[in-house]
Amino acid sequence: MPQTYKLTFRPENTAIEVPGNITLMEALKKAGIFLDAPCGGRGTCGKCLVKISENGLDWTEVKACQTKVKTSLLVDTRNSPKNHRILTSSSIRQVAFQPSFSRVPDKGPYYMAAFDIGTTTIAAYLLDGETGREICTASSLNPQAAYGADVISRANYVLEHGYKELTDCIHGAANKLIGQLAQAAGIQREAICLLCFVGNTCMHHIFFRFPMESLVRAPYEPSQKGLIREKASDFDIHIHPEGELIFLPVIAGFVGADTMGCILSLRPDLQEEISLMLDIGTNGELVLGNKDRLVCCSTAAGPAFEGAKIHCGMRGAQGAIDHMSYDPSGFHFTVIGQEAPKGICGSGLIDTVACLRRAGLIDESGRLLNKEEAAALDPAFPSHITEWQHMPAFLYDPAFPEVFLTQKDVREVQLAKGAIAAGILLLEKHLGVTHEDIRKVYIAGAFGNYMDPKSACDIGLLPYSLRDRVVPVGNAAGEGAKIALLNKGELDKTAELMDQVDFLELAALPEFQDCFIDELEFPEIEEQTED
Amino acid sequence: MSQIQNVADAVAAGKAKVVGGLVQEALDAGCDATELLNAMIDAMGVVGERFKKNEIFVPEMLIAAKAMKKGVEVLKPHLAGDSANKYGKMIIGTVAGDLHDIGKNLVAMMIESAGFEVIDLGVDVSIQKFVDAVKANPDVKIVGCSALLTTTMPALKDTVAALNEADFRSNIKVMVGGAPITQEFADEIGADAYTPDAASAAQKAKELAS
Repeated sequence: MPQTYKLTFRPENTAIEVPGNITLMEALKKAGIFLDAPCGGRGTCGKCLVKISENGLDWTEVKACQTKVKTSLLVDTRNSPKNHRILTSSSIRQVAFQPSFSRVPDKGPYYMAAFDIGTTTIAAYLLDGETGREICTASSLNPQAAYGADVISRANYVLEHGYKELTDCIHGAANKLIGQLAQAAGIQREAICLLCFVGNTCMHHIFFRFPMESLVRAPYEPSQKGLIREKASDFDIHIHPEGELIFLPVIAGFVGADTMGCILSLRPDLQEEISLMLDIGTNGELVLGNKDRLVCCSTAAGPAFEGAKIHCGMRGAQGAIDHMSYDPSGFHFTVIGQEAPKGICGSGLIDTVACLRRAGLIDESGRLLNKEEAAALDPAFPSHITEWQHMPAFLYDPAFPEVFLTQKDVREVQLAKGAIAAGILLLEKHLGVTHEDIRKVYIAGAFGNYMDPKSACDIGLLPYSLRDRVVPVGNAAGEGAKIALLNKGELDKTAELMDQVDFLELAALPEFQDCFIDELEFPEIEEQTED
Repeated sequence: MSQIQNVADAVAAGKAKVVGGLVQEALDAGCDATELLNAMIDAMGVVGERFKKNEIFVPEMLIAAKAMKKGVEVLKPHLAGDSANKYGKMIIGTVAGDLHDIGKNLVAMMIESAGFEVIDLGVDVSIQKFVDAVKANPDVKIVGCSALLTTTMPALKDTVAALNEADFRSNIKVMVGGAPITQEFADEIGADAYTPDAASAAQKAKELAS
């Protein structure tokens, strides 16, 4: 018999027996606790810190992915990143209530549920089957996060280890959320008859165990695209025994059913005016056009706006600096949960860079000034400039010396915003339009909701001329999944839209490189006009 | 020799428009062409160092590399034989299945600026294409392979394995790079060198070739 050890988890107060020599991360997964592990367990990101103790008195903080279980332990994950601010509500477009149930129960009320499977988070919505009214929402982290932060590492995991873990994981998470929705609404889960899922192409392929190879190697094409409608029980999703699940079509390898959801929630194909839609996450998906033509692309924006690759980066959770402003009296920032700052989330990151540009502490090339140069601008500045690895860094508040923005972080922001800005320019070129022709800029997703459009324009993530045309639309992908449930015509339309939207592979465009490099610089700061 | 310094300064500052003229001035004043070339290569070395320290970024580095290129164009007729490429030939490409080339292009430019002739095979380069290119250029000193996606790391591994088995292996050095690549991975697949950025790649290439 191999030696086993007992691990007791706090605050869950659950315990499991595990064999020796597995990592704490693996043990946590076995216990159903999914920590954030952006690096995929390579020990490089330091985000999976947990506290362990043998006796309950002396605690040490360790990286869960790098620590082998060698004795029985108490494991405390209270301070480990698990809970995030996740968007679950928005209402963009009204459609007639004409759902597409194949069958409904003979008696009693019945329901539908929409799901947006994000790489990081999953949002779920329960709708009344007879009225279409939204009853409640639920959300969770995508438990696949324990297998890597981005779609490429997930795809890689599947290619190396097969589908089992990741597919089971996502079906399990859907079941859990269905349970939560049912509980919150005070109904039986068997009363739910129809589900609609959206998610990026990788999430889609993992959900159905579609071959992954074509997705991750040039030319990065999905192996299946079309609208899917299947019996839910075939995928171990527990609702009404005859209940069905729908997955909206995907458009391309890196433009998935989530983008289709966004399109469905806004229907730019019905509009006269040209609109640009952005869904900014690890990949930024962009859709530009109007009733005449729509074109989309995906840009490798990188995870900077989600807090990864940023030295003090974190997601929009408690303790994250989410906004910053700069005026003659100095720098002012706000922290989620009004706590002491622990790190910087995406919206805070954009604000910070915009403020530093305005203050003159970052020049157009992206260089952060050193202490002496900062002193020449304003005697108050040097207290905000520190050094990190022989490079200048911006200190938010000298009272919190652990939270700062490094020169390297500024470079990461430049790469991310350069990719998106280049994507916008190349889509415009493809359609033969300019910034000025774009009447509305819809920003989907959590980041879009929290980011300040003015800051986004100041740093050149969005064209400056569009700063008054930015409309945050919340979780447009999830909204699209709801619309597909509410109206059969809209659902059927997705099968057409899938082929109507042109897809532009940026990596294959010869002008992408020059365009991207041009967009790495920061635009000049325009004079502030009072609104 | 202040003219040589002027050329070096213009390269470092990325003044592509004036570098050619300055090189000509220096030559007219009797400066040695090889000495000028070395000064420009050293100036690019300084640019690379500043890039590594994050003081300057991709655009400034590219601008400097462009200025270098302009200067070399003027200088070339005055250099003996092939000495504009004082360190020799390098072959570079992004491995099969991977279409990403911005990083690879940066490396190619920096290595060219360091005094190499660079043969760029482009993206999605098959193993056979790498092998054939080395065979067609028996004087090549370094082969550089890039992979940007974790999913194309296996292709990088296979490419390096094929190069390692080829009979020309003892004549070449193999360098690898790309966002997901690490020194450990490079060691594991049997590459001679890994560098994390374009500036270090140019530095390393010079070491390997000299």
